Amino acid sequence: MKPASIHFWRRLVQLGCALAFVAIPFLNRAEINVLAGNFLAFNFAGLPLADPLSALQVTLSSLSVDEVAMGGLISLGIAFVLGPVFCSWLCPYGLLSEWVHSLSRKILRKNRITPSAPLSPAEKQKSGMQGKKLMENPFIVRLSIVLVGLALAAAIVPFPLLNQLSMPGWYSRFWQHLPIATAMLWAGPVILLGMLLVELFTRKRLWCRYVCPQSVLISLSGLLLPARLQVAFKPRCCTCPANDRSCRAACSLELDPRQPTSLGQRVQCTNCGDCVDACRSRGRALGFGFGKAGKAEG
Amino acid sequence: MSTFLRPPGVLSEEDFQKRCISCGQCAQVCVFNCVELVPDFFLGGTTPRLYQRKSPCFLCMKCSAICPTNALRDVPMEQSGMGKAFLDAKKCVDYQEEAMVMCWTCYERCPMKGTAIVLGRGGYIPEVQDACVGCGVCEYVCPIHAISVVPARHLAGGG
Repeated sequence: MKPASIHFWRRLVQLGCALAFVAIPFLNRAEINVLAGNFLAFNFAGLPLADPLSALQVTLSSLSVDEVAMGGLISLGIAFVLGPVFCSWLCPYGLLSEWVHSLSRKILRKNRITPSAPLSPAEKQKSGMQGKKLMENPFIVRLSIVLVGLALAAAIVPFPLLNQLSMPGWYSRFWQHLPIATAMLWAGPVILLGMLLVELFTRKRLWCRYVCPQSVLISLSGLLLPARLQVAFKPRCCTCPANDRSCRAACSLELDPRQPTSLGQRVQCTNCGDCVDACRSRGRALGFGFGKAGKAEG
Repeated sequence: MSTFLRPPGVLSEEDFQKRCISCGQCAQVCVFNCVELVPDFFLGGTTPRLYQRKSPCFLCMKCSAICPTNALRDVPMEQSGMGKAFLDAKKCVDYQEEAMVMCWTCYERCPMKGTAIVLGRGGYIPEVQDACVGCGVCEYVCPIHAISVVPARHLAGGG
């Protein structure tokens, strides 16, 4: 029997996580409080987990270290070892965005990327530049949003402003409000669906790539350890021609999996494994490993 | 319904707004489902409130214990600091000598009975003491709304 793809297991984990945050508020209502909280801060049977950015905002504005800081550090520690797996394996907005992305590829066939279609010269040039020019990296946009948000919070706004840009935050807060139902958070669904609609017609994962401030700290944490989990590329196994793009087409973040060591790509890759799946029927040149690409698994 | 209380252990309103990250754990662990999560305004947080006329705080202190950012400090109930009750002697039936009533509902239901509300003047008229933390139970139970809680953020010197 064909072993299940990484994609299958990832969808299972993503769905489980998304559904858990639907169920938790109802469990809480039934006096089961082992799990409580949302994607901004969570309590896992006494163990604090937190969005590192919300933890950083509180720590900076209050100038004190609270439980939430430990929760944020735990999240950063996970990213330190496994990379930004939160984005691709847990975040419910990531799941919705990926669904919309594959839907947009199906229904809007115009400009659809087909595997093995040769790259146009412009695209070739673009792919060559990926990661080389840091200023053209979408990550820089995300980083700027974080810096502006932190500056605003320090200067003008008396509350953690960047939390309002947390898509998983809006998702989980909507479900938190459902059993209480005295004050519904309609802003959440409006923001989520509105952004998904924009992504449907632009056929790009705009929020995750260009906006999401919550991903910035975990992405940076993922850069610190060279030996962390990442996609490794073994050039001698690659059977595809240089301009073939079966792995590139699989990447919803528009990265080139055959350049996994460039810093610009390393900071964006979320270890979703879609390129690894795409390569399984080819030369199996792409695989997960701990350590820099090429070194891992020889 | 316009006045509301913050949950027990609350910091000053300014510090509370800085620290509250809208994680909602306080509302989720509240034993009596009293804490409501209310959007302050569109880009503000979704912060916890208690509407004492609807469901007051019974000082179980679960919310302040779980708050990960210490926007609600983990303190004993005597230091909850949510506000202070004020009793209107003109309305309270116990104060009306001609009424000949010993209601005592606020005194009997006060979670800090004997320290926050005591029976003074010979032992039959309820009086609010400085120990009152403003949980709102008295306001909730008073049959004629003769006692009400002023939130800490509206008190001079506090909040």
